Amino acid sequence: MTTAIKLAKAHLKLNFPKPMAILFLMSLTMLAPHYPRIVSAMFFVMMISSALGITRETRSEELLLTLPAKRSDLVKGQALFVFILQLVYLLCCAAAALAAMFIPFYGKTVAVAQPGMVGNLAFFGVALAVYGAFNFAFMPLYYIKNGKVSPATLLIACIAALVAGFAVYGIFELLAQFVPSVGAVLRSFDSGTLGWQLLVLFGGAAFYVGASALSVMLAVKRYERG
Amino acid sequence: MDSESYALEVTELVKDYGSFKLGPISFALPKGYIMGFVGRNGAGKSTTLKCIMRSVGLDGGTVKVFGEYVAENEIRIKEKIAFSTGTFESFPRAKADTLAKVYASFYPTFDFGKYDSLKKRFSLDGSKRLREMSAGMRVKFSVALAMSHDARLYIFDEPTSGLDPVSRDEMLDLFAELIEDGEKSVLFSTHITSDLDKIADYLAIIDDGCLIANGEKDAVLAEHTLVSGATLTGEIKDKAIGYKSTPLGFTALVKSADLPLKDAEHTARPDIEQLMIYYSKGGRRNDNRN
Repeated sequence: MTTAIKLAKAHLKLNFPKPMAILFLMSLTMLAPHYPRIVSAMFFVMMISSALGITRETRSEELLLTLPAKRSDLVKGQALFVFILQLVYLLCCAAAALAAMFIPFYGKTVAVAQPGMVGNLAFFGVALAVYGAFNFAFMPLYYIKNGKVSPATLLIACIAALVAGFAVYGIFELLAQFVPSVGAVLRSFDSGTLGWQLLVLFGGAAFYVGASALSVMLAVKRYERG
Repeated sequence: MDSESYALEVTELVKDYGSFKLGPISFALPKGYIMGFVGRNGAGKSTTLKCIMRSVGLDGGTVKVFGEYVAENEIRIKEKIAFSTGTFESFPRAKADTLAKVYASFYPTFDFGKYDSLKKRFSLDGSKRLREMSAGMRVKFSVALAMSHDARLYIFDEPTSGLDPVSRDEMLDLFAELIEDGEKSVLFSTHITSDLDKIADYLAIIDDGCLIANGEKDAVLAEHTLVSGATLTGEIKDKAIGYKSTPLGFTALVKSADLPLKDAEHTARPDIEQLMIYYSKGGRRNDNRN
């Protein structure tokens, strides 16, 4: 695992150009009235696809593969890099959602008046579940046999992962729509549902960890065949 | 020679991309020598080196470095290998020194003093971003990185292809210096055969994924003879590895063991370039591919 961490650090230092950090500002769309919160939470895909696209175009992966590291470490390192970007981006979204609560004449009133879920704790649990589904679809599709990743491979992996992520979100949205008790948890800032919100948050986090770990295992298996 | 006398042993190596198949190929590099790995563009040189480094998975065969299978001890063995490529495009936005620091974190024996002296020798500016460097400077940087840790096997993939003649000569001198202690070995691929004439002790020639000649350079050259004459007869065509025929006469590459040949008026020792050309033209191979 140490080698994978070193590789993740290498990606962060070398493959994440500083100007790209501006994409973290997309998390501020969490403040936008009538803007679906899940869309705000998904802008990390732009960061990931850009960073991985740069790695591919510059054949940087080839250099990393010559280092004292196993092929499996390369996948794990790159996956760790993706997960770090995701989680930092989600933290930015959480900070924006929290900040929204303290904006005078904005706060809960505007935050609640929007399509879909509100930016409460449960939402971030759902977002983590969405991220988990995203990773589960993305990783094994991206790490194909022979490691020959074309622009099409990256695009297909991103689209499939977005479909998987939004499918999971759709399930929660449908439940919120048709099951009043679920709607009460996902669509309000009512402190009475805090316990349930925390449950969704931890459930989402557990799903994220499980799905992401499984996605890495599948990706490693696929990549090592190459 | 026993297994530990070899820096590198490649046995029955196969890589099948579908559209291109490499091998099975086998060759060995004894400790303390330089082997030139030569072939035309797309012959399979880089693929072979990637297989040795396990950058791509193998479809068959084994690779041993200093008597140990790379597959069994990948990390420890790779620490003993320095790898550099002649088309260094990786991490263009990174500063050279930043990349060196990241690179060094993977090699316990990385020596920043050595890195600084190589930067000086190659007139490299470590504060420059890689995209600001010329192709030749990036190659030099790649070689400087590779040579700054205590490796015992140096693998260079076309290290001289983007260099001017003076830099190329300096680079070849550096390779020759490397093996002076008799413990370090160099495998370098190239299609610039004059580089091999200068410093290679061993030679492996590859064409279309097949190893067509392999061994001590002088022995490989001595095994072949260039014959020429006025009329290309059936006997010479049969024995020829490859030939060129014009209305004025012919030149053919044959195995020295097939001599003497009737109608071969002149004989000469071929150079590496001629071996490469005639093998590529003739298509007759001495490998065991079915």
